[in-house]
Amino acid sequence: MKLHALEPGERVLAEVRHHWIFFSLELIAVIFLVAFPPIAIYSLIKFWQLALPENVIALGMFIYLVWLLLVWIYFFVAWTDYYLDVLIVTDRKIIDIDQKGIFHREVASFRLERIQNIGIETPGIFSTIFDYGHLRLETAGEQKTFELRNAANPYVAKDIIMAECEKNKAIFQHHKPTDGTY
Amino acid sequence: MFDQLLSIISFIKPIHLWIVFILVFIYTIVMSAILLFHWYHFSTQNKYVKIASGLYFTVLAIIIFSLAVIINFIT
Repeated sequence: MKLHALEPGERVLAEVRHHWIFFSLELIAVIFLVAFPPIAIYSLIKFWQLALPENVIALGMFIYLVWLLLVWIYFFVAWTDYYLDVLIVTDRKIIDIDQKGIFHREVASFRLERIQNIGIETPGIFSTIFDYGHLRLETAGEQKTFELRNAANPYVAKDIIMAECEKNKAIFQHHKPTDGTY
Repeated sequence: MFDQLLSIISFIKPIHLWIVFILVFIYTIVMSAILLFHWYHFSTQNKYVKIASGLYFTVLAIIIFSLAVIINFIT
């Protein structure tokens, strides 16, 4: 397992992902895809009172199992997409991994000293109830804003990042040379 | 309409089902390799990956075994 460019002695403090509610929508879709075909076919058979030969039933089972297999793979592709899209907070830096589909990944990392502002946006009633929101990290640099949309527990993540930034700042102040040079 | 469907089904031979089975099996192997690569290269926590891969391959094996059993039944 490769953890993304961690320095020796660097500790992972938190992993911030999208809220589970967004993955549960995928789960509901998968449950529907699994349950709908047998229910629909059973209803049609009952409605028209069809007596199906054994071979036809077996063929239907075969087609349904192929369907199940495709849905099962789709479910794990969706889970992988959800699981690998993460913001990793370490005691030195933040690694923003943007998983866009199975083959498209964007990874950016920046040191905690570069953070200038942390913003949270809770866009509606659901985000308030389920505790999720858009987490924005503004940095001094070329790519100024990093955003994780629909992040789970954004206030906890913000507190962790802020606390670590303060710690880093204190260490930096402690080691600051007295003659004004760096 | 139902009779038409039955006549179409009567053309399907076990060899057709085996071809579909082999295609599905190849697709499964390719997708599983891609997923495994992602889980073990990019994941940060081993325990979730182990649970996920255990569940994934168990269900996959059950489905593939059932497919083979059904083709044999049709044959």
